[in-house]
Amino acid sequence: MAASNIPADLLYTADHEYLRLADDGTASVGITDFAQGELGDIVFVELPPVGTAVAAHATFGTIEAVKAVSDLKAPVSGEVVEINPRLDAEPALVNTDPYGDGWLIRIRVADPAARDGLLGAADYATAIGA
Amino acid sequence: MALDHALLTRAQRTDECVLRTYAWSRPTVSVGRHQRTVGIYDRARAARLGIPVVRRPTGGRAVVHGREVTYSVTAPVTALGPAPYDAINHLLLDALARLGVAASLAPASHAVRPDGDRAALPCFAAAAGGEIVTDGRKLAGSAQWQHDGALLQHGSILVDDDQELLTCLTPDAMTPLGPVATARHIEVRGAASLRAALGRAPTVGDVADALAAAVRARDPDAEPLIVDEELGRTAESLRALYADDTWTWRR
Repeated sequence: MAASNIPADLLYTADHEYLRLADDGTASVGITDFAQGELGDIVFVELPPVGTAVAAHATFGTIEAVKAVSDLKAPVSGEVVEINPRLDAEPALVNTDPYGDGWLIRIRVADPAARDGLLGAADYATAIGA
Repeated sequence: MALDHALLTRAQRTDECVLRTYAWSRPTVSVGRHQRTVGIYDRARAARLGIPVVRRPTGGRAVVHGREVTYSVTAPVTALGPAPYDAINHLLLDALARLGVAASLAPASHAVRPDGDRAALPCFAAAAGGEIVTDGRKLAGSAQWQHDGALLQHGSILVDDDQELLTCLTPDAMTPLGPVATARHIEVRGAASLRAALGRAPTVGDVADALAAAVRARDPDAEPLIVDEELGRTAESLRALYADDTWTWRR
């Protein structure tokens, strides 16, 4: 199995989502390189409309790979302020660039302290046995 | 669909694994959870022809449930090992061997990514890696939904290849379609069938018995499913979702 890419500047969940915090109080959410590798070829991503309130650890969408549909879980609570417009036509971006063009949603984080419950890169690497 | 969904919710609360096999009372088309149907299949034409269309909670693409056997498996995600999709396909291979069918799993190189227009392709148009094939053609199509710690896998094993019926539901179909029974006998390239593999068509009961035997080979204590009051209530509460056209034709 190829080694998973785990950027040091992101936060992670045990459900294999990542959170990229921005200075303006928003954060991008996506699935990790490990997750996309486990899922296989992504064929569809279903995301909530802008304005939707998402709750930490609750399902905010689904992602379909060739073999299975899986839930997408929010790392923290907040409001969806943007969804990745390219994924409807190019779901494979989640496979090819999960931390870049394959991001899923951007949320306005409800409570900045909530990040304290997330994993750093080293802890996430341990969690997936990397 | 509703009972399968209800069994998924039961698997979330229990360590219960269930295999169901069933047939449909009349030819019905099911489409995948995310599959685009609007502009691909003609809703009015389907209604005129008396062909119900339902949307599964599981993924994958369109299937004609006519001359086939449908199965569902529900289980906690971790109950079937680290690769539940593969574990279920090996169970199917065992059952098929008991019927006398020498099937195999398609190699990973068969992986398909049905982007764009290809997303509208029928399930049996192509075999993805790990799916069940005979002579390189797809015999069983399967798709899974994992939700809150449990999984539901749906699949279809073709007795005869009647998947051509799907082409009659496309907006540009030229047919005044004859009786559905006629469509059952149309030869479709690309899919396999139990009749082609065995030289005869096993009954739904034959296939169900083979699947049950494969389950008992793995778990001698397996028992028949009893739809108790709670399970029945849950299924009933979910029935409206799957009967709702806003779900079926949502995209």
